[in-house]
Amino acid sequence: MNPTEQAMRGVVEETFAALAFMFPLDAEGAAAVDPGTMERAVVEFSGPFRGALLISASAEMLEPLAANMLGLEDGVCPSREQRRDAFKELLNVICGNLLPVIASPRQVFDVNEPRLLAGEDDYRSAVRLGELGTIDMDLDTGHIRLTLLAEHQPTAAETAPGGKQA
Amino acid sequence: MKHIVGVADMKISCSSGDVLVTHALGSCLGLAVHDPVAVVGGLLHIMLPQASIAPEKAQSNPFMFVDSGVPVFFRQLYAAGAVKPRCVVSVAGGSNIGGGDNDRFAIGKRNYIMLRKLLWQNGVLVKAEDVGGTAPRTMYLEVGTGRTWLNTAGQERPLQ
Amino acid sequence: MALNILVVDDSAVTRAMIIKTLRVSGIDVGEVHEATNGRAGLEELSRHWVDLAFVDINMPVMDGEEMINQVRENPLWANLPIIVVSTEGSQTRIERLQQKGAHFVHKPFSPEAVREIVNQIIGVAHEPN
Repeated sequence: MNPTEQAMRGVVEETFAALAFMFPLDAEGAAAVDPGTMERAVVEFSGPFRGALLISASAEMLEPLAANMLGLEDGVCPSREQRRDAFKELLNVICGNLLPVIASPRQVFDVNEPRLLAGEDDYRSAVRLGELGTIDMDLDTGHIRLTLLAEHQPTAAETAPGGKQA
Repeated sequence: MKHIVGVADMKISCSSGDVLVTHALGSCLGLAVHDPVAVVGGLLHIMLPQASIAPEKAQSNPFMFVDSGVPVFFRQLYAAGAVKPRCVVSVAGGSNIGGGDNDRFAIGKRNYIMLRKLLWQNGVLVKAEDVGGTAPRTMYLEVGTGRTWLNTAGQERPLQ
Repeated sequence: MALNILVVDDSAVTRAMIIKTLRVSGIDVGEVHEATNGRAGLEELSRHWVDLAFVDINMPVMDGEEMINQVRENPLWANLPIIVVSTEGSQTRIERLQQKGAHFVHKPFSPEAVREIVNQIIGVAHEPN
């Protein structure tokens, strides 16, 4: 696991715990999953460098995700719209918390609105972004995969604490 | 009078002279609830997050698990005269005893996550908490005043 | 005295979480108005009496920082208490917002953090001169 992936894992664990009351089942590694049963979303950002964060999650995770975020009583089902919105907001929160960790807290990023990806969307081939890291995680409610793409590795100037600002 | 709350147990008191105490909060969670108007106080010591791992045990002792024990605890507090909007809630424990990477199952953290989920679902906010870390805690609740405090490695400190 | 609230966030789930937090915090909540971006938030402000606004930063159409800039330029809203609820991690931007008189709560937020900031604001508003 490279340092970026370690940072990703830390932010993802903290976000799932604090936002959705979910926890990882294992410290590392995860079982292979059928991509056809996954929901996908992407959030793009710009600033000192351009990039995107891609998430795939087990489709069955979205209902407890939304229910937990909203604090719904057991047996009350969130709507399809609420499930999708919760999924996008989860990605938004992960991205917003990850960027200051992999770059510098002084850097200013603009994070676009997350959007869902249709099953056949091949996002990665449509953008000229390199992969900085990918993590897989099994949570108590399902599996996620997170991939960070960027136009380049953050430079020393972009990660310095006093950092050159956008 | 001091009353000791054991592991996977709870006590509720309406006597203002009582102090409820529970020891050895490692990965376990201590939950103290106090109604200052009704002068009702309760202390719960929970071991594990989810009853689904042992439903028959949860049937015989719901206080072993967060998701079975906490609702029963609150219902019994209300039966003793506590009123929900007045209740002051404090939480302690949930630590990783031994520290480092030995806590593969992260029971302390899972207990805390499950508790937060339940409290959010039921519209209950926490006044004070002291969770995580690696050291065990002893938790006290003074029923007459609602004062809560902890003892860790011989050092007492208020929980506020 | 009931507080009239405006919540500006493009996520309906986040708006619901903020509103639920206020309702369970023991805060006397009056009217609640919602908007999905900064421009819609300004329109809600012009139409309704609002005592406290929660504003996200990263939103389409008009982001939260631009909305706050326009709020502060209007004498009617110059002192409106604003709480930014955002994932914003840039210290540079957070300081800019604080210099405009905004309070800040970081996402993911605990309901207790929101309650504490609201109580601070209410407390300040009710301090005798």
